[in-house]
Amino acid sequence: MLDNVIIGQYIPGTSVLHKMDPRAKLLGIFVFIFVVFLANNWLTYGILGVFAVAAVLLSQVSLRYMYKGLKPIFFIVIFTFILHILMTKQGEVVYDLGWFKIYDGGLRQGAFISLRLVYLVLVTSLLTLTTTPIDITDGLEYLLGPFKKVKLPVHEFALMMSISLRFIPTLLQETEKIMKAQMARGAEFTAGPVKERIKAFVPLLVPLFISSFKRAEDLALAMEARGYRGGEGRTRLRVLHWRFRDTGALFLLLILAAVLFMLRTHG
Amino acid sequence: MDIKISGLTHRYKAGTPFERLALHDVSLSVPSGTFLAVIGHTGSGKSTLIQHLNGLLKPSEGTITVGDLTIAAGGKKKQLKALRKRVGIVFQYPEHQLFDETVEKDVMFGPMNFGQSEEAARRVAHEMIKLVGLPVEVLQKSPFDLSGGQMRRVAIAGVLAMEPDVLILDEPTAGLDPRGRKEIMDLFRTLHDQRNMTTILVTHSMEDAAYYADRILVMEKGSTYLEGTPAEIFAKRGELQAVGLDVPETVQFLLKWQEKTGKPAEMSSFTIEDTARAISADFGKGGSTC
Repeated sequence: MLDNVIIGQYIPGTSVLHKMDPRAKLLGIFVFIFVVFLANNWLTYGILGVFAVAAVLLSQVSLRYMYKGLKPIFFIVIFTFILHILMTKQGEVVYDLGWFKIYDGGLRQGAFISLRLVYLVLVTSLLTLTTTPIDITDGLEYLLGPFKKVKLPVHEFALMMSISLRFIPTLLQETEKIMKAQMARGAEFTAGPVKERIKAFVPLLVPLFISSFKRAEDLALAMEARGYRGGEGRTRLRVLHWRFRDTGALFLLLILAAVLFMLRTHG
Repeated sequence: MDIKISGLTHRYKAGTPFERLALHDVSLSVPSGTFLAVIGHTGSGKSTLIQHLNGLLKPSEGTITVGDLTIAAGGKKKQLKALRKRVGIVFQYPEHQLFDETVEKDVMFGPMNFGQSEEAARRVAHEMIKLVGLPVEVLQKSPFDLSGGQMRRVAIAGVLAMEPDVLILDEPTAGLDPRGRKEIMDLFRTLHDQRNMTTILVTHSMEDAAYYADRILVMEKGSTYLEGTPAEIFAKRGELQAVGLDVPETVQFLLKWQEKTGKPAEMSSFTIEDTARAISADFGKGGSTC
């Protein structure tokens, strides 16, 4: 039942995206988030779409799997789309129901915002799909390095992140296990009125919280037992390598940004 | 309650890069009142198999029949709940499923989900707590104030309180001390005999399988590998070793004995007493002097 969650999931592979430096990927996604907001007409959204699909194809992650993983956000996408149709009153009336009119501006706006959402989720999920959690953390720690000067606990922050990423699958497994145990005792999580359903989650959440706290304690103990003492003077087992293709990928993104900037509707 | 499985196949995460065939064309028949042990090394499909019996996993292909209920691929949800009422399942580390404020409420959770009145559920909770060997006083305590062994017993009571006809045990004694193990296993065997239940025990302990079960099923790579009585199964040491299993310690001992003395011994002795008797029989016949 939780088989389709792809957030935080890593799929081993040897594609170009897998081999890229995590710093380049992080920077790239950071830039992409801004670039997405540059698009404001069909042409620019189309170019972005081609780019996003190309990135997915490059990652060699199966399209069927991507689609399954995107399913949960379809609800949000459709909701956004409908909201825009209802709220935007620009352009010509396309459809008139008497009490309520659909404007072509609303349709356009709805489609654009939905596309924007899909692009963002698509590209950001590629990061975790093609990068091991440990690489993401290393990259992040490096990129945030300058903030150490202003006494920001960058190493601790990165560690926290890697621990949370690392335990997403564990937590999902645990959830499934306890869900099954309670279902075997006749609990139902997917039927009945909303109030009952919320109540039904207590038997799931209490054991989850308890095991999470226990696991946190065990982890802290295991780290201390192995002499962990924070980032000060810590050397790395694996050193990140910035290659030509990483510079190239970022350069490509900048070109994309420039193209979008030129082709977007101004004014 | 008779259990019949035919042509059961299960695929995990179908349609993802992680797709895995967990069960392949498993057919099995468990007559009512059988105590069946399922053995096989990690990943052989034991847990997947038993989750089907409870409707927690739906078959990709094939059917499962428990009593007069049949679950097929793409079956109805309503059926699953009816199935769960008949089949109780004690998972590995069942104490992880405890959640309520008091032990009493936690044990009552199951029966009340299946439509028992509060009154009846409370009565059954009291009965089950005594049955698993805990004092009645724990009923008003928080389950999280108990020791690990006590929590395990409370969780088991929570499953027994549903009064299932079929009881499935997934390594119920993992992580318990030797005495706790024996007490819990004896409890299950007694319950099995007294309440005329059908019991399915998944275990890594050849000794438990030999001692407690009437029949044994050996799983390997998602298929049934061997099936028979403990005596039949543990006479096939070579075949067991081929899949990473072995015979119980008592049988190992007797095999060594046979090797040293050259006398054929009775190989189906699964308790220390029986084993001792088998050897002393040798002595009685004026046997070896090693």
